[in-house]
Amino acid sequence: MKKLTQVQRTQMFVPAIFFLLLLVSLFVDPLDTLMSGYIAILTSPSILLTDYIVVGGLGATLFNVATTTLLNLILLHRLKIKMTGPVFAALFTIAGFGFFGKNLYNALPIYFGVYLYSLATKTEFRNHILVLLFSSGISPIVSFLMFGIGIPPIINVVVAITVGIVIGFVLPAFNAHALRFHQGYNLYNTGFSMGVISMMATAIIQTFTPMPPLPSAVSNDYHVVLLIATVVLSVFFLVCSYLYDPVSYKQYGVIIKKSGRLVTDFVRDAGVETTLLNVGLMGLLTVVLILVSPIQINGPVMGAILTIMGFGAFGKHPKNSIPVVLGAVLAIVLIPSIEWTMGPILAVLFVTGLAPLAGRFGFIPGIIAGFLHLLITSRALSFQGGFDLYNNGFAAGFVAAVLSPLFHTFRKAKEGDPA
Amino acid sequence: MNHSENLKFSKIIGELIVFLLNRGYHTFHFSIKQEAMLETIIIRLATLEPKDEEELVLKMGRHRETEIETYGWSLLGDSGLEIAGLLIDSIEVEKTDIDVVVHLKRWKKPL
Repeated sequence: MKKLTQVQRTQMFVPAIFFLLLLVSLFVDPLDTLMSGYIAILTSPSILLTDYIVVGGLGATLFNVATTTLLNLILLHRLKIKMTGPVFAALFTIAGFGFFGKNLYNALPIYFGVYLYSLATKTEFRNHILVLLFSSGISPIVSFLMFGIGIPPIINVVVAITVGIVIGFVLPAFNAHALRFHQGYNLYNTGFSMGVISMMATAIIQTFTPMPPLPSAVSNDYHVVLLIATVVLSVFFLVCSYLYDPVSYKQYGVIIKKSGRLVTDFVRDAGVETTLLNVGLMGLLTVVLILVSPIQINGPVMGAILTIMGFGAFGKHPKNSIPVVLGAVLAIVLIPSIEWTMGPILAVLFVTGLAPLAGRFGFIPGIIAGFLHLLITSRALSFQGGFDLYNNGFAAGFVAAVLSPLFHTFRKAKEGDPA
Repeated sequence: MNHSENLKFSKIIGELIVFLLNRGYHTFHFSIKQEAMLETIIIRLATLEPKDEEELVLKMGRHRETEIETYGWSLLGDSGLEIAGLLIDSIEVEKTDIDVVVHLKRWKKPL
């Protein structure tokens, strides 16, 4: 039998994970409960912070995660896209945000906008796949315009789809410019560019109608179940890594030595086996963080966990992630007015988007970056209005843009540093 | 070549110049050869140390990935050869009695 390549193996088992999740979701709740929950999810405005477990229950949420991710996997298959590190990261980010804000249809108008951009610029659609996959982070704007502010039927659909298409059309060009703002030190670059677009959209919408208060209810009812699921998934990646290559750890130094600055593809640099080892380790590290802190797993936290694991293939590893997480935790511990509420909790997890700062400049700069990030995420949310699900990516863009030139000033320049 | 392609070429060459200067090379010649389906950056140097050649081939011979190229090429110019290597299809180093010639090939339609 012909031996499968590393990438082919990953290409096969990632869809298998989500097929399995789809099957599991069908047995979590009775079928009628699942369907009514799923309809509630599809018709929810979905802006930050909408925990789909609260909206539709666990079964419907898992069904949403599986179907949304599988839809993107079908698209990748049709476009013959390889399972590279960034694609893996994007898929797990989509899966993660399937717990709070992304659903089967609300990204489609944005995807169509990206497609129109490729036509307008006479570039291949598949070349824009990374922006397309990450663009689903602003999909709540489609749900919100459809179901959130009482626009009359049919008109709401037309408005929502049109706005989604326009955003998708603007995003690829803007994304490239945004990258230069923070010089690749924010792994959630698309989150930053979408935050800017979301800020403008919020301002325009507020001109016509007041924005409703942002939702904040989360469900911690399934903390233990989701914690066990995280451990199982992490161990699964470690086992896969071992089975593919029992000595994959020997290449781990290649990953650890990387700063993680965009665009660092661990699959390309260290191979699939070692990348899976890193993904599994990042998952287990997150479990440790949850066990030693007051963090309870709900929809948004589960989203953050899957995002961290996904970016284990695209820039994050323990050495560059731990300092920024410590910085964020320190901010909560040292500042009396900040508590372990949802905003700071998510910032502690998503702060890993700034891991390249620690990877490039070291432990203490990483702590400073994490500390500062935690202070500005809440401001970022009120600024961008909640349409950009990657609010921490929006905040991290500013932190990286301010700190990276500063850190460069005080450290000896080396090849690859911005001028 | 269109403006965007010219910009990419200029930035790849910029990264290569920094690479060479940082390793003590001060005399080198760049040219670009254009064919119907292929564009080649040609670097001509008097010598190229084996360790520098190895590093250059490692970083620039990583094979092109158009999705990552589209996503991250705007970082070119101050990112080292890591990203520049993602825009090159293949690298060949040719040694003659008088000089070393490096060919960096970029197909118009990626392989």
